[in-house]
Amino acid sequence: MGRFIGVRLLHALVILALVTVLVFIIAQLMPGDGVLAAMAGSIDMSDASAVERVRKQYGLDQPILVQFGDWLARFVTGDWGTSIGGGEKVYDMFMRRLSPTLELFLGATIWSIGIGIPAGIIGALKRNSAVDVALTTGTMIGVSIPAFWEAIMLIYLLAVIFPILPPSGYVPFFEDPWLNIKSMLLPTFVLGTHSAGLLARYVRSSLLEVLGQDYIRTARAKGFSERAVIVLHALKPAMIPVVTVIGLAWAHMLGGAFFVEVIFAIPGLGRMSVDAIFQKDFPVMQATLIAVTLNVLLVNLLVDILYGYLDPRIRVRR
Amino acid sequence: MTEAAPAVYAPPASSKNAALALLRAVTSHRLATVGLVIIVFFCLMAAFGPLVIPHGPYEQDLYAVLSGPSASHWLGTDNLGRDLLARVVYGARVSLLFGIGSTALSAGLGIVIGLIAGFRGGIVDAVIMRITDAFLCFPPLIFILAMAAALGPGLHNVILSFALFGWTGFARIIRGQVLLVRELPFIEAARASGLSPARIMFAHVLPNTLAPIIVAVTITIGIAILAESGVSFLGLGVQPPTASWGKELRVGFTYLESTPLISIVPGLMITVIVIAFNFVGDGLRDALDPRLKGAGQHRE
Repeated sequence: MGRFIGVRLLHALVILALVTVLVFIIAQLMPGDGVLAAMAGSIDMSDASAVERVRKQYGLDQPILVQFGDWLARFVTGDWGTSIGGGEKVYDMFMRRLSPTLELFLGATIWSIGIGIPAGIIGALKRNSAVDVALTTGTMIGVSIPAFWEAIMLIYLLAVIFPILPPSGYVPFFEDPWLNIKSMLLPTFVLGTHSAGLLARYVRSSLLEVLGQDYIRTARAKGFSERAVIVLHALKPAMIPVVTVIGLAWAHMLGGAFFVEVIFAIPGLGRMSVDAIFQKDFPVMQATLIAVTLNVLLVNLLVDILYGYLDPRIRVRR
Repeated sequence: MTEAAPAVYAPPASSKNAALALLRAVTSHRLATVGLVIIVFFCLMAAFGPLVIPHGPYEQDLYAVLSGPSASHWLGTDNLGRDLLARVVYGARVSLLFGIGSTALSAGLGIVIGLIAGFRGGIVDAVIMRITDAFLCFPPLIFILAMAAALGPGLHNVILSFALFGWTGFARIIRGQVLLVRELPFIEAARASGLSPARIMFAHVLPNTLAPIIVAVTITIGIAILAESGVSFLGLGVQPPTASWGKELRVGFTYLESTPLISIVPGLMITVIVIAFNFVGDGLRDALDPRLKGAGQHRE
C-alpha cells in the first residue's frame, strides 16, 4: 500500500509540474506584457526609458526560463503576486473568497449524494419499470441542463412567481445561520444537479452489474431475503465506483461555480475568477488555475487511495 | 485514475455499410431514435428556418421592445426589439456549427496523437499519456475561459481553446484501441507485407478503432454546445450582434421578471439539443459496445 501511494504521489507531482508550465504559457499568450498593460494608465508609454524601467522592475527583460523560475519560486513560497484590478495581495484575496465556495461545494455534494444514490438504487432495483424510465429521463435532464439556465428558471419559479427564497445574495453562516441556509439552498442545488445525475447513472449500472454476479446468486440460493442480499452483499461493492464520481464531481465543481456564483451573487472563487478573466487580471487567474489543479490532484489521490482501500484487487494488481 | 480495459469492436466492412449499421444501431434504441429526430429537426431549423420566419435576427422593432408574444412576433422581442424567434433560429446555427466544428477539430487532433502514442509505444507513449493526464486534471471550462481571455473573446478563439482541451479524451480512447488492435494477426500480416507504418496506422489500424470514437464524438458535440452557450452567457464567446442561445439567455436574466420568455426559450433549446446528443450517444454505446449489451440481443 505504501508503494502504491508513493507511485500515485509521484504521478501527481509530475502532473503539477506540467500544469505550472501550461499556466505560465497561457499567461505568455496574452498579447503584450500583462504588467505593462496594467501600468498603461500610470506611466507614459511613449517614454521608452520609463517602460524599460518597469520591465526591469518586474523582471520582464529576463529570458523566459528565468522568468518562469522566478515566478514558480515566488508562487511556492506563498507570494502569489498582487491583483492588477484591486491591488490586493492575491493570496489574501484567495483565502477570503475560499469559504463561500467551500460551503457551496459541500452543500452541492450533500444534494448530489442525497438525490443521486437513492435514485440510482431505485432505478436498478425496479429495472425497466415506469419508475426506472422516469428516473433515467430525470437523470439525463440533470446531466444535460446548463447550470445557468436551471439557476435562472429556479429563481423565476421560487423567487419571482412564488417568493419563498431570496433570489440572490450571500450572508456568512456565523452572521445569520438561517438566512445563510435559505440563500444557499438554490445555489447548492443547482451546483449539485449535474453530479446527482451522474451519480444516479453510475450507481444504477454498477448495482445492476453486481446483482448479476455469481455470489449474489449464491446468497439468494442460500435463502437470504431479497433485502439482506441487497443490503449485505450488493450495496457495498456497488458503491466503489461512486467514490470516483464524487471525487470527479468535487474536482469539476469550480466550473459550475463560475455560473452559480455569478447568478446568485456569491462572493466566492468562481466570481473572483470570472472578474479576473474580464479584467485580464493574470496573477489572480494563475493562482486560481493552479489552486484548481491542486484540488483536482488531491481529490484524485484521495480517490485512488480510498479505491485501493475499498477494493483489495486494485492494490494487488499494481 | 481508473481506466477500463477497452474492448475490440466489430470492424466496419465498408464505409457505406458502416453508416447503415450506425443508423440501424440508433433506430433500434427508443430514446436514441427520439434524440436523432430532435437533432435532424434542429439541423433543418438551422438550415431552412430563416426562410420561413418573417423577421431577421438583427431587425429592430423599436415599437415593440421587450414585448410578449404577438401576431407579428410569435415569441415576443428582446431588449433591442429584435424578434426572439429569429434570434433563436439563428442561434441554432451558431450552436450546431460550434458543436460540430470544435468536436471535429478535437477529434482530429486526438486521433492523430492517440494513434502515434499507441503505435509508437515506449517513451513517446509515456510522455503523451502524462500530458493527457495533466490536461484531464483541470475543469476544461476554466481553461477555455482563461484561453478566451488571453486570446480575446470571439467564437473562433473559443473553438480553438475547446479543441486544445478536448483532444485528450479522444487520444486516450484511440490509444487504448490501438494497443488492442496492434497485436491482431492482420496487422502483423500488413507489417510482414512491408507496408509503411503510416499506411498501417491510417489504412488498417484506424478504421478498426472508430466505433468508440463515434460514441465519443456524439457526446462531445453535446458538451461543446453546452460549453459555447456557457462561455457566451458569460460574455466571452460570440460577440454582438450575432445571435447565440447563451447570450440571449444572459439578456433574458436581466429582464426575467417582465419578459421571462427570453430566458425560457433559449435555455430550453440548449437543454433539448444536449439531451438529444446524449440520447444518441447512449444508444450508440449500447449498440456498439458488446460488453454493455445482453448477449442474446446482440446482432451484427
